[in-house]
Amino acid sequence: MTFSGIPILWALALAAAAAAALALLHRLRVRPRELRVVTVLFWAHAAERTRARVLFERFRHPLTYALLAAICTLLCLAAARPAWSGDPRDRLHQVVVLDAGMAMHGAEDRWNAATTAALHEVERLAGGDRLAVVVADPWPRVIQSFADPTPLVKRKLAEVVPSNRPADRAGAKRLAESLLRGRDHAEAVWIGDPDDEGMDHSAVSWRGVAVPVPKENAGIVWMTFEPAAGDPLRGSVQIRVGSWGPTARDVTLRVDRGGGAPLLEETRLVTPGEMADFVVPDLPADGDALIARLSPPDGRPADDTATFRVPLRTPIRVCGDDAVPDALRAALTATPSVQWTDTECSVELRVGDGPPITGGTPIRGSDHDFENAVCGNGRGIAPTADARILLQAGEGVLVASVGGPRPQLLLSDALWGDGSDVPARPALAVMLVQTLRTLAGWDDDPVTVPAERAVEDPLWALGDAVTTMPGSRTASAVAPAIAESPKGEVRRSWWPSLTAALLGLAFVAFLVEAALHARGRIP
Amino acid sequence: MARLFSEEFVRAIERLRIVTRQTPRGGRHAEHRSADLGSGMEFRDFRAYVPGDDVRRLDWNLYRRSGRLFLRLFEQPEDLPVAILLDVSDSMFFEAPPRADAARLATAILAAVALQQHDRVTLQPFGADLLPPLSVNTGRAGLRRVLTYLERLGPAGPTNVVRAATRFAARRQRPGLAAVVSDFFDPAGAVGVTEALGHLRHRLALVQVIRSSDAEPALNGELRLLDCESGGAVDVSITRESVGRYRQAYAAFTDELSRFAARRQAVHARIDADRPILDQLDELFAGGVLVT
Repeated sequence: MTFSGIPILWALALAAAAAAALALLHRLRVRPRELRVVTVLFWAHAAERTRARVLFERFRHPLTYALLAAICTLLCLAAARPAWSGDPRDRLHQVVVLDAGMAMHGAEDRWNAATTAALHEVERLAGGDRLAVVVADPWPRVIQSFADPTPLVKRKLAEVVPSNRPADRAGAKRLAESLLRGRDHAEAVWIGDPDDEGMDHSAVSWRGVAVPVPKENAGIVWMTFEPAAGDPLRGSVQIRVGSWGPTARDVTLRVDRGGGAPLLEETRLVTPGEMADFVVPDLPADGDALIARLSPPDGRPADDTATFRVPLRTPIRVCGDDAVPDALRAALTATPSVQWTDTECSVELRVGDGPPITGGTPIRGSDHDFENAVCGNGRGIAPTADARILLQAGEGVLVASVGGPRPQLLLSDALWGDGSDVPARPALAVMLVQTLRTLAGWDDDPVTVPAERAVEDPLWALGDAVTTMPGSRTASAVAPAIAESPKGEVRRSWWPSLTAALLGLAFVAFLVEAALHARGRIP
Repeated sequence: MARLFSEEFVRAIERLRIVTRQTPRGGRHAEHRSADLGSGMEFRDFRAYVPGDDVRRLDWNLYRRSGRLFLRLFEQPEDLPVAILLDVSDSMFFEAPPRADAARLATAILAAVALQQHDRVTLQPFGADLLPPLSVNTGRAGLRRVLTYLERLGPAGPTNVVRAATRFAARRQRPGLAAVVSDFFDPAGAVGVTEALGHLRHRLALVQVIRSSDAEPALNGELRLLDCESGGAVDVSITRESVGRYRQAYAAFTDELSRFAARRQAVHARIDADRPILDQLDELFAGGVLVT
């Protein structure tokens, strides 16, 4: 027999501990002050009549204490929902796997529905069944093992917070199956968005409980920074908003700087399954944080906000010695992202001579002839530098080197010889500038929000439809691939009979105590 | 003796008297009117002459007028045996000032008045049982003996009015006035005390020695009350309800004594141990006379 899932021995131990605590309090009760009086003739009469009416006075007698303690214990056991444990051989081991990933993040109604479904699974179990709970978020873990008392599940679930990243569903399922390995009577329950991946071939009996999804949603799909065509130090921020649901709706996007300065507030009518692009034009690449907020609020607030940091791009300071041809210098500084300086710089441009080498051969250390040749004036590539040949034309070669005190771009002067046509190639300047950007740490691609948002978009309640492009009408209309499994049978035995029996015993004890009191046997 | 009985006290009691509605016969000559007719100075009645009567008492004037012989009858004053049962149990000496002081003063008053009226006084102290009594006759020497005796009395065990009254009644002395001076805190309760006193054939006077705290106890909190005589303990929570029940019990106790006194046409006087005894003489001697 169990009491609220607690085995009877534990319940009796708890009751004994409570009785011991009561006994200790009984012994530690405030002792009366002794006082000698001329006679107790009249006080004896007064005390005899009042003792019975003062509740705590009745605790003075050990038998009264025992009867009252028994009544309290029986009432507590009756309220603890006693249940028969049943045959241990019929004991069910059930693992509940709860999706706590991005699909549940921020949507309180979905998470509440998921935890309610989990507690409903707990209620279905019989007194002797064992329960474990696995939380499926980016780091699947067991929060309730088979050995933990079942009444603690509710408190443990209250401590779980859904993650704002996709759940590792496969990992959570493997963890659940590992808990049930080797057990005859076992069942696993998945609670969340429909996901039957890996369930068909599993040795464990899986059952799915779908969590209701919101009827409509609008969310930020991605944000990106697009550099301006002629000026990589400036650009525009583009925000894509998607929507799905039964009807078109007006959505308002507001973009603010991290410090609070507003940049954009615009309202668009978005049709279900389509996207709307918002643009914040002409922003400097100053590394500032931008916050995008979508309104009005809907059932999935997690995708209604996004934070985005504009790349920090300052002009690349390039320096070099007198050997750098003026033409080269002019080609580099034609773009506003490059500044030539004679003082402190971030990339050094060096020109020297050297024998032709095999293209594509990486250069290491300072032992190579080319290096020595390029650095014939005594300056050379640092021994730990990592160098790559970017361009080889005849005897001319362009090498990029990182490591050392600062990045270097090395050119052999053969590239600029009278017989070389390299200087005339328009792509050289582009290559040089791109190489400088790379050496300066500039990224090539526009900066966006995490890619998972585009792949596992919380807009889309149907995981299987994510493979289509966001904004597809077809994706909005796809029906769930996995139907909800039939609800499991309720295994809990009828506990009200035990409760009634305990209440009856408590009532009998009460009658005994009242009868003894009426007969004057106890005070 | 001067501690208890001052000169002022002695002078005050000189003018007090004890009068009883019924004087027992067979006593010696004293000041109480008795049912007997004797050789007193006060004419009372005529009676027809029968042979053998004292001829000196014939009324010759009446004979001349009626032709028949009649005797003159006169009052025969006799003494009133006064027994004073004085409670000297432990409870009478427990408090400060002890009730025994007021009790002894009241006893001295009764004894002094009785001695002035040439009555015979017997002091019968008791505690757990009767102690050796003191009997004195009239006169100042007798009063001195009484006062000295009272001064030397001390605690004599737990209160047992029932046993004292029962044993005193068993002596079957010439009944007179029996004054019981006590707090009456007998474990048998008021009913047991009055039942025992009912066996006495004497005219009774109950002198109850009280204190204001008897009726209105000034206690509070959780207490274990210990009886000063028996050591018995009673655990009590001082609440409004428990104090109310105490008052009811005490009132019932006092009412039982009063009802008994009314049935026996006895005096029931209450002497406050915290007040001077001379200020309370009216309790005993209303108008200067104790009528039993």
